[in-house]
Amino acid sequence: MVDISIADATVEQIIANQKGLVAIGAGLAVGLSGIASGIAEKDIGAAAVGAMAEREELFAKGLILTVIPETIVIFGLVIAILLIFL
Amino acid sequence: MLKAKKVSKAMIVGNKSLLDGVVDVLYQLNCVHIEDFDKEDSFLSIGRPGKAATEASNKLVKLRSFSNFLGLKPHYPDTLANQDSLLHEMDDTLDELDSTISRLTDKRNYLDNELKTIESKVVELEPFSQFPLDVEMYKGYNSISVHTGFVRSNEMETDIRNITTDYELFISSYNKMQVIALFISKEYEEQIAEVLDKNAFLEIHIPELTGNPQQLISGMINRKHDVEIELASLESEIDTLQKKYKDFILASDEVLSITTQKAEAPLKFATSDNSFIIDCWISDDQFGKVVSTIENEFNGRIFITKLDLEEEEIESESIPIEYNNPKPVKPLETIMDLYSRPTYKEIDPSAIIFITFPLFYGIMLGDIGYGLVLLTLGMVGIAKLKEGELRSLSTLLAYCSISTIIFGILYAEIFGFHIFGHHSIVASLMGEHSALGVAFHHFDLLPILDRLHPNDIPILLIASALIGVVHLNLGFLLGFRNMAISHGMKEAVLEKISWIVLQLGIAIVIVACMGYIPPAGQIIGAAVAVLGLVMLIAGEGMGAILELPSILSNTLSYTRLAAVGLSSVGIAFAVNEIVTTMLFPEGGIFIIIGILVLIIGHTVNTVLGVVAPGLHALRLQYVEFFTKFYEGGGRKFNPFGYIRKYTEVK
Repeated sequence: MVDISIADATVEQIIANQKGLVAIGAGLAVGLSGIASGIAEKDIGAAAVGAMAEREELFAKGLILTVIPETIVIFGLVIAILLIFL
Repeated sequence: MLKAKKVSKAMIVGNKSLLDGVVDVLYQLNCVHIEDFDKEDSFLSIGRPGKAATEASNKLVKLRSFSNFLGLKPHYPDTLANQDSLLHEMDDTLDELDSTISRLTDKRNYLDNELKTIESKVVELEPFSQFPLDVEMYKGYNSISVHTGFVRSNEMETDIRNITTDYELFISSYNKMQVIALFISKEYEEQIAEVLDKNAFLEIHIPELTGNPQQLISGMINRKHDVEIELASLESEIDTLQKKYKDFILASDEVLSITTQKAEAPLKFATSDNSFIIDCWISDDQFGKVVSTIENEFNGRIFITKLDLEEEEIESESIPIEYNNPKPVKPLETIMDLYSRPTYKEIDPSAIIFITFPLFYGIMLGDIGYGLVLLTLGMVGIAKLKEGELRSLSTLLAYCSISTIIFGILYAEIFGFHIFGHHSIVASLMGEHSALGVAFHHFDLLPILDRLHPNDIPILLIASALIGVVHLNLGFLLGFRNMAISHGMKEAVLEKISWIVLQLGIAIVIVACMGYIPPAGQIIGAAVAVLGLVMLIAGEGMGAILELPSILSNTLSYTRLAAVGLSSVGIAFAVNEIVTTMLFPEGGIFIIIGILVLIIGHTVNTVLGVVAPGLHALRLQYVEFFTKFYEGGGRKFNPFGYIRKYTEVK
């Protein structure tokens, strides 16, 4: 652990520090939204598989319903990429 | 293309005496979709199945049970069987097969049974094999009761001794349990029952045998081996039988299926005392052929006429749908069927997803190396499979891999390595100063987009969102066309064009905010967007406001084109880095480990490269694109007839 007191830090150190925080933020954006998608998708997926077991034609409808919450993680990813590259 | 095949409703009427002939002709034509006759409110009755039906279906049931017993799978025959000679020999061969197979079944059942009996007896006897008693000695006493079985602990002897000393107890351990054989006078029955109960006694019955248990068991094990050998020879007999009769069974199955289908066809017809009426659909390009064939065969004694479609019939989903696509687009019909067939009036988007599906796939995977691997897989699939869904999917894989290779060239990637420029894999493998190395090193027109370079990633992201805007608006335009035809121009404009106006407004606002046009553009853009919103509310009601964010989420959803690709190239890059910077420089055994890591890593990534881009490309079609215009729910056009695979008629 490097102990940095802000008052003594050089400009480079502060910039590096901020880059680290941005990376943590990006990681949280993807990670948390991924967990959220997972939680939302698990119930839908289970129900969709159940429905498909009864009627195989429901595959496409099941797929559509299952992937709807995936948008959440895409949002997270976009935010993460914006944070890191812009 | 873009529309289902045009079909006409037709009616075929004739005298009942010609019924069989008509069925034969229609069957051979294999292009007439026969509609089931609905008996409700009709003075006509359903036709009777032909005489051949019962016999043929009985034989078919028999044949299918044989093919089940022999474990037959459909395959492509080397030679086609002649239908007449097949029918000639069918009865005799069927009888022969019947007797052989029932003999084999009996034998197999007998052997299986014997095997089970032996196994259960061994299980029963084994615990007692350690006691020095013959099996018959456990039974047949007048004044002594015998208890055989398992108990939890071996401490029960003290309990017994408290009752009496006049007993004989054998005890030994078996599989973590205690086996006992207790011989005791019948007068203590009740007390003993209590003691046994206390020790959780589990009774086992001794089988009805005589002799030393150990000898009995070894005898049974010998017999078990014999039975197993007999079973194995039985299986090989079944195998030979399968090889011998495989072609016969599959060919007969086909002939009999055809016979039953033909014989049962009248069940779909309406009949009166002397005539029959067939209600059917024929595609317009085949109509002339059907009419002229029927005219020629029956000299005008059969009447066939085209019926006019009523407006509500075109609206409903009752018209059977046959795709009308050029051959290269056919594989995409599998993807369409997975969702739902189009209805008669709507656009059939197979030809559109023929372009967009491989395009999206290529944008995501975009790697020459993976593209070549998948192309090989697809080609093998096309060569091995002659028909069916898997063949369509293989063809689709080949299309996708070609697009993957094209984007691989644009990204200049091969298995996650760069081929051109400063990090060229060719230059580092061949030596930087070799002719090829120099060529690849200095060629820097490619990559057009470098997915491994941070500067290019936002460009890729924006490009994929723009692709999304184009794709979505194509969907709205198609929706406009479908809606205009089914619900009229006004609703089409309000419900579909409104979205485009709304996007246009937002686009003007964004461009104005970025300073490309004067700031007044912001107000104009906002006005346009509000106009779009008003149109939308007029078309779909206030509920449309809830739909508004979907335009944002739908567009952003296309950024997966960039994101899925980045994850794939990320894995490839990580594998390559581990191998080239950490393993190879160590030398020796690490070179071999490095090669293994490369192979495993890229194999895993190839599998992921089929699954992830495939599913995401599919989802963009189904969720983002289709929901803008597509309803589906059409019925399959199912022509009455059969495509022969195993037999021919001479």
